Amino acid sequence: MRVADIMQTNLETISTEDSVEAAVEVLADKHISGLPVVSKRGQLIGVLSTTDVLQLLAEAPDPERRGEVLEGTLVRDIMTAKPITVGPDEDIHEAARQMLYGEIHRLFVEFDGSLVGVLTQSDIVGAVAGAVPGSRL
Amino acid sequence: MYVSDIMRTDLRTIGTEATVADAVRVFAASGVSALPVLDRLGRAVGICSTRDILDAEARCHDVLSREHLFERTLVLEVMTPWPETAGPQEDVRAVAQRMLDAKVKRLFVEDRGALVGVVSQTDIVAAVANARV
Repeated sequence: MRVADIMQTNLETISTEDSVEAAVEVLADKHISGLPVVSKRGQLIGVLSTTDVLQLLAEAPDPERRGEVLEGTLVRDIMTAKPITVGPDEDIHEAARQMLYGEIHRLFVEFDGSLVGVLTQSDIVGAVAGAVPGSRL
Repeated sequence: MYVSDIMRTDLRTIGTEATVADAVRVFAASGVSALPVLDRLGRAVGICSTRDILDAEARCHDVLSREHLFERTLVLEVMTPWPETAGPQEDVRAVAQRMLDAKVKRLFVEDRGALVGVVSQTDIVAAVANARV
């Protein structure tokens, strides 16, 4: 089974210049745990995850000003740059290994330098759920 | 393959008296994304995930309400009351489907009423990575 067979192509994205507060609203509204961060030209340059946001909150010097920290911090300041990507033709066992070794929950899928999809752990779990007993994915 | 083959038994937990700020510190220090919430007798009464906290934060619209959320709100108030669990002898494919149906990233594993482990989507991905599925 290939990445393209199970990846999602309907992507929410956010800009480097958006506030973390705006990103939290998208994460909460869409019930997702990570957002691809794209440049003005639409290129993938990072990922912002719920873990990044919680790390920011935990490190806020003044606990009473956490709200201001969310509003005053830009996505580019706390995103993880250069996320690991895969190609749409990659075998899903190899994609699973990359997720595991990279300790990440999603892989962005690039084709010819463009962001074309995302493969999450849930997509792989879905493939397992639909697997025929005794067969290999 | 059964849940007991891939579940983890080294659980981090948090008490019902902990505040949301306490939970944020545990999440940041441990790297886990959900904590079983235990009462004073050690019984699991719910699960508090990073998602629960971010959803609560998104509902705050000013600095005062955020301060109240972090410093004066107990995890008990934002957690998901004891959710669906898995059994150690359940088939991994069935558990994978239940995770997707319930829209959860992990299921805690109970054996005869006792909390014995957790099986997460990451554990299922690991099984795929190791070509066990």
